[in-house]
Amino acid sequence: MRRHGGLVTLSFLLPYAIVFFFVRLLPSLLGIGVSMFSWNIIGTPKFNGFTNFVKLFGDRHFLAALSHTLVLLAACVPLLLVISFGLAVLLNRKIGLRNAARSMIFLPYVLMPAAIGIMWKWFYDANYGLLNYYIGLAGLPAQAWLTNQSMALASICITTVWWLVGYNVVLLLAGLQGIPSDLYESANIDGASPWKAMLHITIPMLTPVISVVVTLTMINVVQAFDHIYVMTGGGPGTSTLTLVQYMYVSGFQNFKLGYGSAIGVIVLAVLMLLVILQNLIRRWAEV
Amino acid sequence: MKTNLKRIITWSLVCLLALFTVPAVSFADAPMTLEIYGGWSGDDVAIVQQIVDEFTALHPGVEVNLTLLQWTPLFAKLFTEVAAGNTVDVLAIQNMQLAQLADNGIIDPMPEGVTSVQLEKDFNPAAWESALYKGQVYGIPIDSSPQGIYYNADAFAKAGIEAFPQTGEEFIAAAQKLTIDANGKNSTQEGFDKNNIVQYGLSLPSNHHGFYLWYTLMLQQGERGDLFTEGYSQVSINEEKSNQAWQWIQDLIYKYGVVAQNEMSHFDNFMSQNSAMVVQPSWGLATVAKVNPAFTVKTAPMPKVFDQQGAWTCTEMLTLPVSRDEARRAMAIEFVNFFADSEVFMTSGQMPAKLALQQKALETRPLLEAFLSEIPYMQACQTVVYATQIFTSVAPSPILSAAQNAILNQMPPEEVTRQLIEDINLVLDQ
Repeated sequence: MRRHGGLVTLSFLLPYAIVFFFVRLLPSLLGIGVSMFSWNIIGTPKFNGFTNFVKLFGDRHFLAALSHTLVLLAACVPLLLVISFGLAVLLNRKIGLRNAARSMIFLPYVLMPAAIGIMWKWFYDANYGLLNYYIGLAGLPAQAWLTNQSMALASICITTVWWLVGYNVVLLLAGLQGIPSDLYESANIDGASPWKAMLHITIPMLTPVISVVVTLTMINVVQAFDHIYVMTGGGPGTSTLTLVQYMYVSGFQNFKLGYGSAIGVIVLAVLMLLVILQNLIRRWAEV
Repeated sequence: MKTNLKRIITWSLVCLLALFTVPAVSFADAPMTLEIYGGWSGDDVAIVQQIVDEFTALHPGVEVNLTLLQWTPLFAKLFTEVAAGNTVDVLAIQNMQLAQLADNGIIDPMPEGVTSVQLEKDFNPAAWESALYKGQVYGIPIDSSPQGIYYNADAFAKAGIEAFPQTGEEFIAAAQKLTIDANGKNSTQEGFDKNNIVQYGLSLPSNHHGFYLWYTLMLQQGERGDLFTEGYSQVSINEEKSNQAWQWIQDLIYKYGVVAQNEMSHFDNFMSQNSAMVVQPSWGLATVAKVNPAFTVKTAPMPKVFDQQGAWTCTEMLTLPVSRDEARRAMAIEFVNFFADSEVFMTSGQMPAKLALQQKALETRPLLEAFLSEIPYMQACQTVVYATQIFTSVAPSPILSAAQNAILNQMPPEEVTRQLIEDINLVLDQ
């Protein structure tokens, strides 16, 4: 019976496992291998060990892309966590038009990122965009959202948060709805305030979901490419150049596959480091 | 038993015969398929398809598989196909990409007598020069796209400007008259409200085409030589003239205030009548024809800002990727000839590289006249092996950074020039 159950499980997992192996795992492993070569697709790959990695850390464009990616992470992840948590708590209550609100909040996530980029590029237009129009009505000066080097990355962050918040809300909402209501009833009977219930019941019970949300958010932010490429193309100058765009440009525009793959390995390393760090913090917090 | 065995053997022989005969017949009749790659988009797609359809109608045994993608994914696909040993028969490229493809052995020089007419004298000089690399002809030019000015003739009439400005000073004066506030005052009039402008005199590209405007101004200062030193080891830019070019562009925005600051969509702003003039190559004519704006659009050559006339241009050309299939190569050459002589392509609004087609193009698009007048002095950027890294529209492009540093960030021209030289030399130094 157990053996039969195991076979059934395997038969359900196998199609995905095959696709995952050939579409995700194998290309990733090959990419790590390619990162140690110098190769322009048409010539013969030349093994050069860690030369690509050494070059990367002397490449100011790479260093700029790395810093921009880390800044985006540092800004977007906490913002997304706080905003999506707040929205999830709100949507968990019995409020009017709750279902419509849930759909609207989730809608940005199902849009094509490139379409989001086109839309927000017009919102942000310094002379004719909606944002500056409303700012002008409030008596504030117009901003160069995407054309000012100091401001462009922040504008990208806002768009990224708008795009991803719905996905996080769905996950957190599911987590909230999994918390037994009798816990809140007991707390209420004991005289706990809503704030204390939040701190001592909601957040601890949601910790596993929050951990997943943080991990997925980090991955999504690091991998964000389409809307940034459309909105700024990495400009003005290189002020919004990210690791993924530089990887794309190096590999597919400049035909330096080894170099591009090395950037991909760095992206992987950054994400793995962050996930490990996050798990360590979570375990420390639990203790 | 014997009868059954006989039957089995007979039918097996029949099947074997069919197995080898039918495919042989099929292969003998299989059409020749030409693989053609190009970066055409928008309205050009239907026009190119029409040319292909006309070609295949004239060549019944030939099918054409047309692959149309944006330039970056197109070349990624091309390189992948070449690496896999697949043949691409005809490739349309822009002149900047020529050196990279030739040096990587992707394209062959044109064979002798490839066209039905003699080559050099049949094309405009800039287009012909663009097709040359290391003394050999690698492409047949099909269109040129020089930079020029589109202007709102109704706004000009309203501002009392009768003739289009010819010099830099006249151009700035016109732009100032055409920069209008909500009260109808222009920027030269008392009480002009610079915080309430409804129409700017001019729109400028703040993307990599800002660099090509700089290039136009360098040509006008007599810098008609190569952008790179021999052997492409370093970029060769006259720093003083470069600074003057960047300064002139910046002055339009920050000194005279005739260009909106932080402008991102220069041609859209012109078509929406937020500006009265715009710097744009000739390919903008297709958009004008399609949108059919509510105002009168006219065109003019680039004003003579410095000592000489000059205008940047780029050229599209058809090339022949490396091929071992002689029959397909011969048919590919026929296609190239056919395309280069096609009048259909002129309906796209492109400016033909072939001189013989210019009159026909003018009949289709009278606004082309201004761009055609630039033929004697227009010039394309020199092709270079690292073209995709230098002449690209996305970061970390040296030309994009330079244009945006000058136009959006108001970086001092000396700094812009210094950074541009440094960035390009960094690419060349790989």
